[in-house]
Amino acid sequence: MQVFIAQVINGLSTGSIYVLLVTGFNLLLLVAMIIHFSYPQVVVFSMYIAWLVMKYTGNSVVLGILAALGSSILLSLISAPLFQKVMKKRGEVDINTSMVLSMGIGMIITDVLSHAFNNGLPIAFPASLVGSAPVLRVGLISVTTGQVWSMGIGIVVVSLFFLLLYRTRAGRAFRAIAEDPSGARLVGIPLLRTGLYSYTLSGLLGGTIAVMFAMLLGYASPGLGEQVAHKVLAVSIIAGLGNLVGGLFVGLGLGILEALVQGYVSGSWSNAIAFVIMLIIILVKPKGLFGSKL
Amino acid sequence: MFGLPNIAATPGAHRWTMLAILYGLVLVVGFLIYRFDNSRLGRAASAVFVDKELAASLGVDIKKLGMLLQTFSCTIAGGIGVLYGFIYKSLYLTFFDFSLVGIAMTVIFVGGYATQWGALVVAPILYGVPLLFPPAIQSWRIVIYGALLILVLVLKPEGFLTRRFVYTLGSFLSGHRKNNNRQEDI
Amino acid sequence: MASSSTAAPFRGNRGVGGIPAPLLSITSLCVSYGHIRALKGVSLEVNRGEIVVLIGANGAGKTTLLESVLGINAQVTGSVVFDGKSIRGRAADRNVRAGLCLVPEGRGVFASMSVLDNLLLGAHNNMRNVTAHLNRVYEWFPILRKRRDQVARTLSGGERQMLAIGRALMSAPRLIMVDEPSIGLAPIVVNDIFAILKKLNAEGYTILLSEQNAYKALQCAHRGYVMETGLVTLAGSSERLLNDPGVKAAYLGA
Repeated sequence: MQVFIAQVINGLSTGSIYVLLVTGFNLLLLVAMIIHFSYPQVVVFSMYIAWLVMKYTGNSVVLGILAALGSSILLSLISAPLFQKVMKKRGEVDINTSMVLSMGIGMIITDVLSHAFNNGLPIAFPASLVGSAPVLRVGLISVTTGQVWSMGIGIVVVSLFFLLLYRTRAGRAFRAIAEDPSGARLVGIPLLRTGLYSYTLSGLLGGTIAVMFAMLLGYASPGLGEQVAHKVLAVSIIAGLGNLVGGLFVGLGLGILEALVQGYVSGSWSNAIAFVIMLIIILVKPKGLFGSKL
Repeated sequence: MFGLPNIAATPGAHRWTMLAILYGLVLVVGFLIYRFDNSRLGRAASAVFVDKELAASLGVDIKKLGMLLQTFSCTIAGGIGVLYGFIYKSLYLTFFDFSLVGIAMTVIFVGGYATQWGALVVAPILYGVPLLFPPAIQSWRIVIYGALLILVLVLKPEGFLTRRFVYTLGSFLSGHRKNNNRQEDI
Repeated sequence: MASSSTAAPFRGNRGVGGIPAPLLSITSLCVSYGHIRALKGVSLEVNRGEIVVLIGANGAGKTTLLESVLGINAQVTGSVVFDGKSIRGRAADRNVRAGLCLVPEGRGVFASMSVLDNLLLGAHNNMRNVTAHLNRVYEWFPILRKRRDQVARTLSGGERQMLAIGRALMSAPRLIMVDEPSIGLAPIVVNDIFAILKKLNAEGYTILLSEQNAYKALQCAHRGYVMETGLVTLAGSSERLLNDPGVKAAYLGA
C-alpha cells in the first residue's frame, strides 16, 4: 500500500507536467491550427537556456526562471511566421505539413543541444532550483519539494489557463477559432493576430513547464524532448485531439500509470506498457476517450 | 565478426556486392514505382491522394487499397532490415530512432511527396553529398537536414519533383507530346 | 420590443452633410476563386437607412458579394467604398471595426459556446459599452436573455437566426449584411425574421439582404438587385421588381 501511495504521488507530479504539455500542444492545435509535435523540444531547449543562465549568474534562481520563460516565448514567436507561412498555402497543403515543419524544428533543437551544450552530456541543475529535499517522509512515502512545487504550479497554471479561456475576450476568441475558423473570421476576429496570442501563451506555458521539469528531474538531456514528445502526442490522441479537459485526465492518468509500472514491475518497462495500453485504447476508441474536437 | 556471413569472399568484395545489390534493388523499386504509377492500382492511389471522397464514390475500396499498400511498404521494410543486417553486421537500436524518421521526412518533402520519384532521386543526393564535406560540417548534418526541411516546406511546399514535373518529363522522354493535356487534370 | 426612446441607435446612421452619399457603393466588382470567376463586374449602391435586397438563385454570387465586401476573399478587383473610404482588400476584422457586419448563411453561430459568449464575440472588436449593447440586444430579442447561459446548439433554428442577428448588432454596425436569413426556416419564423429586419431598419439600421425568397424580401425592402451568374441583370425599386414580368416568371412563380 505504501508503494502504491508513493507511486501515485510520483505519478501525479509527472502527470502534472504531461498535463501542461498537452494543454500547450492542444492550444496550438486549436487556435493556431498546427500540430506542434516538437513542443516538448522547445521546453527542453528552455531548460538548457535556464541552466546556461544560472551557470553564468552564480545560480540565480530568479534569472534562471526568467530565462526559461523568455527563451520559450521567443522560440515560440520565432517559429510562428514559419508556421503561418506554411498555413497560408493550406489550400494545396494539408495540416500535416505543420507537423513535419515542427519535426524539422525539433531535429534542429535536439542536434544543437547535443552539440553546443555540455558536449552533449546531460546537464544537472543546481540544488538551489532543484527541490530534491524531502518535505515529508512516512515509511516508503517521501514527497520532495520539487514534487510539491510542480504539482502546485501545475494546478495554479491550469486553473489560470481555464479562467483565461472561459472568462476573457482573448479566450472567447480562442474558443471561437477552435470551433469554426472561417466563422470566426466572419465575426471579425483576426485569425493571424489571435494565433500569435496563442503562440505567446503556449510559449509562456512552455517556460513554466521547463522550470517545473528542472525542479522535478534535476537534469536534462538532449533526447528528453523527443521522449516526451511521443508521449504528449499519444496523450492528446488518446484524450481526443484538441480536447483540453480530456488532456487533463489522460495526462495525469499516464503519469500515474507509468509510476505504478515503475513501482511494481520494472522501470524499463514503463514506456512499453504505457504505450501498449494506449494502443489498445485507441483501437477501441479511435476518436479518443473524450472525443476529438477536430 | 559474428552473425550474418559475408556474401563474397573478402570484406572488400562483400562491400561492392552489397552496393551492387542495393542499387539493383533501387532500380527494381524504381521500375515497380513506374509500373505502379501506370497501373489500375496506381491510378486508384492517385485518385485517393487527390480526393478521398471522390475516389470512394468512383468505386475505389480505400480500406483494401490502404491495406495492400501497407503490406507492400512493410515488405520493403523487411527487405531493408535484411540489407541492414548484411551491411552493418550488428544491430544498433539507436540507428532506428527518431532522427531517422526526420531524415526520411526531409528526403520525402525535399523530393516532393506527391510522387514516389522524389524520394528515389533525392535520397542518394541528400545522404551522399554531406559525406564529402569536412567532418566539422558533417557533425552538424542533422541540423542541416532540419534547416533544409524547413526551407523547402516554407518556400517550395510541393518539393522539387512534383507530379506535373514527372508527367512533363515522362511525356518528354516518351515523345508523346500529345499527352500534354493530362497536366490539366492534375 | 425596443422603443426608440430608451437608447439611440448605436451610432449615427444618418448622413451628416447635405448630400446623402451612399453608405456603400460597389463599382464593377470582380471576384475569382482560382480560375472560376464568381463575380464579373457587379455595381450597386446602398443608401443610408435603406433595406436593399439581392435576389438570385443558388450560385448567382450573392454570398460571394457579401463576403467580398466584408473582406474575406483575396482575389478582388473593382472598387468597394464604404462611408466614403475605399475598403477593397481590407481585412475583415478592420471592416467589422469600421461598422460592417455579416450575418452568415445557415445561422453561423458557434454551436458549442453559450448564447452570451456568442453575443460577446460579436463585440470582439468593440468592447466599449458592451453592457449597453448587450441590454439593447436583449430588448430586441428577449428570448436570448432567457437562454443566455444555454449552449447555442440547443437553440431552435429561428432562435439561432435571432442570435446571429443579435451578434451582428453587438458590433455596433452601420451596415448589416444578412445572407439568406430564411433558408431552412419554417414560414411562420421567416415572417418573424423579416418583421425584425423591418423594425431594425425603422430604428435606423441600413440593411443589405441576400435572399432566394424573392417575394417576402421585396415586400420588406426599398430597392432590389437581381443577380444571375455573377452579374446584376436588373435593378430597381421593390414595386418595380415585384411587377416586372421577368422577375415574376423567374422568382415569384407567377
